[in-house]
Amino acid sequence: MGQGNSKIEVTKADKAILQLKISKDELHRYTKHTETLVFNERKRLKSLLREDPKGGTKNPRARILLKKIHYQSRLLDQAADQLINLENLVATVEFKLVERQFMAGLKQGNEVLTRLNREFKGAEDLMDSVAEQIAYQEEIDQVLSSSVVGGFEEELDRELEALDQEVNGTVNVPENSAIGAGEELGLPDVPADKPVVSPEMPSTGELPRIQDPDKAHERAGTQTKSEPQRERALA
Amino acid sequence: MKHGLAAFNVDRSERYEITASLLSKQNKELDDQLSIFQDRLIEFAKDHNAELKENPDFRMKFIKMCTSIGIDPICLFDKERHLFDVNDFFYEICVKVIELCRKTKDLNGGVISFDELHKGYFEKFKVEMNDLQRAVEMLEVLDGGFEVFTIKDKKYLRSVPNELTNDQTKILEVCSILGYASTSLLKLNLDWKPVRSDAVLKEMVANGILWVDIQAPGETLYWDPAWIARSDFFRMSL
Amino acid sequence: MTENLPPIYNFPPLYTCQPNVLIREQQLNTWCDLLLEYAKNNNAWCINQEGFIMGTSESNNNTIFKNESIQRAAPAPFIDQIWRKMLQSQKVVKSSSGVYFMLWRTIDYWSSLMLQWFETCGKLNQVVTLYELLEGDESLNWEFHGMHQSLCEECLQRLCDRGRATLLKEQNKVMGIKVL
Repeated sequence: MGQGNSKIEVTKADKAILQLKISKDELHRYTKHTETLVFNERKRLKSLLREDPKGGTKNPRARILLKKIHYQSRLLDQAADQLINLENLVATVEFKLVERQFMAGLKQGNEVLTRLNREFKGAEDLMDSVAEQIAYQEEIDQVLSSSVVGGFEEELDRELEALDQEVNGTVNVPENSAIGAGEELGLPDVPADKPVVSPEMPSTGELPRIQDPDKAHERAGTQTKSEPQRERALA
Repeated sequence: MKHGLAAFNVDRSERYEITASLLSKQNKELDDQLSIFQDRLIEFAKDHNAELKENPDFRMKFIKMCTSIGIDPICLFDKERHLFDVNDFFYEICVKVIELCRKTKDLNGGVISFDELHKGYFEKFKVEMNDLQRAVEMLEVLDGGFEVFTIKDKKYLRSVPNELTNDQTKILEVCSILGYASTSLLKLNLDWKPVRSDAVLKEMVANGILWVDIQAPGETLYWDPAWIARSDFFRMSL
Repeated sequence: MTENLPPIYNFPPLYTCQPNVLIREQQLNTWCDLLLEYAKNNNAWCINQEGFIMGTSESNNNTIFKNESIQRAAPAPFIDQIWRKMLQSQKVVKSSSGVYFMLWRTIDYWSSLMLQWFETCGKLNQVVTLYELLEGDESLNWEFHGMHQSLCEECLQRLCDRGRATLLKEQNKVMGIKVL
């Protein structure tokens, strides 16, 4: 009944092992039986000798008994050898089964590995395109840096500082303004589709543009300031 | 020699052996700890005897704790040093006596000898016979149906509220010699008529005080279950 | 064989069915305890109706229901009552051939002990014959060593019901088991 219900499957190998083990059990039972037999007969022989200490050694019954014991113990030895053989066989079969499992595991691992490797082929393309992108990025960087070549940056810094002092009245931390200027400087350049490096590009014509956002800001400031005034006037 | 799976078996069983030995070691350690703790608790009870005596609430809680970890309250008492209130000691004995009587009621019909009580439980805790007697005296005062009676210098305790008649007591007296009574034995010793003996014996069987034995040669014998404890005593003393 | 039984075993009226119902109940319980104790002491897995230990070839001309030392024996109808009580309190299982399997431990206890054996001996997921389990050298120190086959089948069936094992049959006879 259990065989039908449970999901544990019984393979052919299991059946074979069962057969092997049954014969092994049979041998085991036989050796046990013979052992007790030999033991009992030895006991009988001893009592026989004790009963008749003089003629005991010449007693034909004792001789026969001893012969029988020898014969039985020889059989016992044989059975023991066979038992060991069978046990070895069972062990080897079981080991083979484990090996098979091991092979299956290995195979599966290998499959996974190849599949993963296949995926890595796509990764190569990906790497190529990534490298391209990086190269492109570097190009852009170069263009940007070369667009402010030759001491021009220092000039810009100085002018920004002066402007800053003019607007805020205090000596600002130069780094901050430098970064701010950099950003404002950089941004308008990105949309230039053709990164053609031309030394004429950094012209003074761009200068007003730098100032422009500031002025626009100022203008916006005045506008926002004036708005609430207007509102108040309206009120 | 070992091929195949057998080779793995060795490894595995060794591993399991280690876990098993670890577990048993832990068990042993826990046992040790518990017994140490129990000893300490008893020590504590002895050291703080006065407080325990003064404060009944504390005492109750302490005894409760002791029972919960497996210390029989009886072993907390120390008569010489008047540990706790001495009366408490006897109360504990009383509780045990009642418990034992209830447990053996169906076996002996509610009649139990002091020897049986003493050997069955109290000996282990070095409770002496006269302590037991004092405790049972207290039980009698409670009027809970407990009664002490003596047969042939042996004290018995009856825990079912059924008065033993004179005849019944006499039969128990006979039983205390051989372990059993019978019509012929009663005729011989007390000169009772078989009708009288039969009636009393049958009644005692119905009450569960005596057990019938119809396999004895000659006549029916009526046995007192107290014999069981006595034979145990013989076996142990041999 | 009966040496280690409690002294009540030598109490003569124990062998007479007591008329008082309460006392008889106690008497039957005493018999149940005695039988289990007797079975455990003698490793008697299997006892027949008359109280003889089955399965051992050695001198078993003694029945527990007969006490030679006090010349008492329980009569057959009373023995019937005792067995009924044993069955009722599930201390015994009656086999199809009419003998009783003594359960001084419950079947569930045995089945988990066997499972433990499979685990500790590394016998999981391989075929093991019942003979190997019960008579083999690897279970020598286990309490179930020498158990009767059909009782063992009963225990292993519990493992199957739990989905832990499957029984292998050979010519309609359970020969082996595979435990996961």
